[in-house]
Parts: sequence; C-alpha cells; structure tokens
Amino acid sequence: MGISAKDVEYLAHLARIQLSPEELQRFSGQLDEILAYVEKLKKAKTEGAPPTSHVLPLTNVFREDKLQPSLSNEAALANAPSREGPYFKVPQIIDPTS
Amino acid sequence: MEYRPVIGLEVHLQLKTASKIFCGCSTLFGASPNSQVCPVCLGLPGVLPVLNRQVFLYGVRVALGLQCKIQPTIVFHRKNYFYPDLPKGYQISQYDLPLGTGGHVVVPGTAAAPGTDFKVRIHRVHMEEDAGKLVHRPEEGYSLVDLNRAGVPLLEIVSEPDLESPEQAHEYLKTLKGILEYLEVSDCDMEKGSLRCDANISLSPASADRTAPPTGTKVEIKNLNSFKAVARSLAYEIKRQGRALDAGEKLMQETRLWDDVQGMTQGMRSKEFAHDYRYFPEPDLVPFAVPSEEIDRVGKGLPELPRQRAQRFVDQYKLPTADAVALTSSRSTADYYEACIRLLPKGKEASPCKAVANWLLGDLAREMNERNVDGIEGLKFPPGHLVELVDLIDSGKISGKMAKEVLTEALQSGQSPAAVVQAKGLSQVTDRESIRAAARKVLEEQPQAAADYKQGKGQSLMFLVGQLMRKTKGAANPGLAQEVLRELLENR
Ligand SMILES: [Zn+2]
Repeated sequence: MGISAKDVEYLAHLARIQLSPEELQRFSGQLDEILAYVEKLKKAKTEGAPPTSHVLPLTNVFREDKLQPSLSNEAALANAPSREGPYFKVPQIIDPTS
Repeated sequence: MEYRPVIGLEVHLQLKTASKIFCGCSTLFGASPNSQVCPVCLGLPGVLPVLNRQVFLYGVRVALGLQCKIQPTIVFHRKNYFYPDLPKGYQISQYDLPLGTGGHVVVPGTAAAPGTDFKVRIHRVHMEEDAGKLVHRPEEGYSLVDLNRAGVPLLEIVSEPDLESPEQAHEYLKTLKGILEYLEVSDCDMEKGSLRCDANISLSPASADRTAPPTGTKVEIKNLNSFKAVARSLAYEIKRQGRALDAGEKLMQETRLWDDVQGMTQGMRSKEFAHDYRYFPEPDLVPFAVPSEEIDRVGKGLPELPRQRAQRFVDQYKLPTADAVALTSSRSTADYYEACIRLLPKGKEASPCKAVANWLLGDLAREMNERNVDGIEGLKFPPGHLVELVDLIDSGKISGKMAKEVLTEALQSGQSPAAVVQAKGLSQVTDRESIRAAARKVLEEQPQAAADYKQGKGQSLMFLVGQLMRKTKGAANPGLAQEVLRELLENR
C-alpha cells in the first residue's frame, strides 16, 4: 500500500516530532494497516446515511455572549517555562511578517 | 505579451462581541498582556469550547448581507499548524461546511470607469478564532507572546477571483467595508486590525477565455495594512509577474509579503510555512443546523444597505446617482446627510438637498482628508452647523466664497457658522447704495474696460465685477454687483 517511510517523515515534520529510522519504518507499516482498515470501511453500504462529523446526536449548542472571569495574569503564566513581565517568553521563531 | 490579472481577496473581520468566540474572556482591545485569557483560550488540557451565539448571529447577518446562502449543516474544523501565537497547535476554523456560500457584492464602478457597476462573487463566509500577538525581540533572540487576542471571533470573507485590476480591488474593499459598517457587526478599523486583507493574484493571457478556470500561478500577498497597500502591492505584482513571464521564467506558487516602505513584495522562504493544515472535524464542537425561521428573522432585521440607500437618495432627494453613491458608501456620512435633511425647513428642501450634498462631498470631504479624520464625526461639525451654513448662503447673508472661510473658522474654533459670521462681522453687502458707490469708483479706475463694454465687449463686464468684488473684499453680493454695474454702464 501507499505509506512510505518518506511520507511518515513528512508527517512527523508537520507534527514537529522526531522519529528514528526504525520508528519511520515501523510507523509506516502501522499506518498502512490503519489505511487498509479504512479501505475496508469504505466498502460498507452508506447510501442514505448522511455524512457525520460528530458521534453525539446534538446540534446547536451555544453559549450566550456573556463575560466570565478570566484568569489572573499570574495564574495564566504559572506553568510557563519562561516569562518576561506579563508575557510568555518563547525562543525566536522565524517571523512570517518580517 | 498582454496579460489579464486574476485577483481574489480574503478579508478577516473581527466581530464586536463582548466575549470571545468559544469562552467568556473579554475581547476588549488594548488590555494589559495576558489579562483576558482562560483555560479555554490558552488551550489547557481538558477544556471544551462552546460557540458564542452572537458570533453565529453576526455571521449569519454578514452572510445574508453579502447575498450568501446559509448552509444547512455548519461544521467547525481544526486547522493544524505550529506557531507560538497559536496555543493549541491548531486554529478552530471551518473547512468544507462553512457558514455561507455563493454570495455577491455589486461595486459601483471605479474612478477610471465611474458608474459602471461590476459584480464580485463571494465564494464563502466562515467563522474562526483569531491567534495571539507576538512581540519580537530580534536582537535578544526571543519573542514575547500575548494571548489576549487568541479566541477573538473572526469572519473570513473570501471573494472569487473576479477582480481584474488594483483599482477594482480597491473599490471592492471600499464597497465591502461600507456594507459591513451598515451591518454593525464590527468596528471595521484597519488600524486596530479589526479589518484585515490578504490578496491573491495570477496573470492569464489577455486572450484567455474568462469563463475557463485561470491557469496562471497564484501568488498570495500578506501584510497589507490599508486599502492603498492592497492596490499598490497588486500593481507591483502585476508588473513583476508580467516581466518574469515575458522573460520566460517560471513563477512559483508562494506567499509574498508587502513592504509598504520599499513599495515591493518579497517572497517568504516557502518551507517555513507548510500549507498542509491537515484539516479534520473539531470533535469538541457539535454541528450546527439552524432552522430557516431563525435565518429569516435575521434576514428581516437587516438594515437598508448602501446600494438600496443610494437608490432611495436618488428618488427621495433628487440627487445625481454619483452623489448618492458617494454619500451612502460610508454609513456615517449617509446618516449625517439625512440628519441635515431632517433639519432643513419644511417645504423648501429641494435646492438645499443638493447644496448639503455638495458641501459634504466637496469641502467637508477635503477637510476630513486634510485633517486625517476617520469619518465625519471626527470633524466636530454637527449636522446643525452645516444646515446653518447652507441657510446663510441661501438667504444671501454670505456669499459662497465667504462660506468657505466661515467653514474653516468654524472647524477651527468649534463655533457655529452663524456665530462666526457675527464675531467676524462677515456679512454680505446687499445694500444697493453702498455697492453703487464702490461700482462708481471701479468705473473711474478702469475707463478702458468701461469703454470696451460700451463697444459691445460683454466679457469686460465680468472683469469689472471682479474688480468690484476685490474692492469690497468679497463682501458684495455678486449678483447685485453685476446688476448695479450694468445699470451704471448702460446709463453712461
Ligand atoms: Zn478565554
């Protein structure tokens, strides 16, 4: 089937996870099996069944436009690995707007 | 070779709800960093987003205002990418089941081709959450993150690639902004970022079939901070792409950033922003299917939109179409105009209606421009003042020329026009005797012109009127001045 180690490497890059060459091999095999299963599901007769995006028989769950208390700045930053004043501090990333 | 630009625009509109799209944090602009955040918008584990009903209603309002169809089933998707302004590692957005599709906007022409309406189709309108804000410290090698904006509700309005020039793109944006202002769902303030725009553009051979899908390589332009920047960046891209194609180069499908200072676009290194978002349905939000009665109710509540209002202005106030379109393109100007009309004395509105329009579109528009104020409210010249000014001219108390001075003074001092006239002792001389005295002096000083008139040179009368106006420092009533001069010349 279709999933190569190269595909897994690309997906790993998108997900920002580092995989060893052995893992790339192992996961491409596992993903293949999952896709094969999906292929099998595709054969099920689904005429007359509308596509669904959710397993709960619920629609239109709203909240009203009301303010709720936010966290204090201290609480919001409590678990931050790094901070400066009221900000989260992160390593420099390539800025798409500069 | 001749090319035809194929341009589409994506507009992001921040909705003016009190709370964020999926949590109860405030959307207020300018609060101290990370003070309007909670576990939901911080993306902490175990929380559930719940859709703000007002976001949905505003969205329906915009979609209907743009003539879109509301989709029977509306689903949110996760758009996955990594960036420090996006705490969850995905943005909750919409993918294949957006709020509205298949709308259009009718744009009333461009400056180059006024009055030639063109239609821009709206591909889709969808709801999504905004990301946070980054403050970069490039020298120190780090960035600071403020997540107050994360989760603020946005509508994305995507046009079909129906635009063919920077001017059309500019006019489309102006028209769209006008409609959005009328719908009262957003500040529409580009400076505060509540209205943002990205453009995409490709070139097709001018001879290519317009109904066929465009074949050119599409370039996306970002970092556009004003309508002017949109038009300039598109003009730049049209030149750049045309030159490249003429030289036989292959264009890259890429995102380019507009540099407003240098007046050019620059390519982003494409690998840094993979356009592979792996959309999948947001499992934390249920689908939405709104009963058609509720949609009808929103539809019935839509205000009169600019195009309808312009037509009414033509019918009701007998304005030329161009004036009506210009007055109604901004809601605040149109409201101001109608506030003036309501203040006009009953039964004699016809000529003042046009005069008020002329002042609004002429001198007041220029003053707004020069003072760089956004909207007529910024001038601090209430409708009552404009009506007073028009009335001062209409009743012959001041001349049109004096009125311009009175306006300048009134804007500067905040006084009403009548008060300015009184304070400066400006008022038109309508007393026949004093004009006659000044006219006699003019005729003495200008014997040649007087003689020319006698010999049948009619235009020397206008010269003499000019001299008379000068002598009276513009205070003479011009009609009366002409009458008196002619009388004196005829009786010589
Ligand atoms: Zn929140």
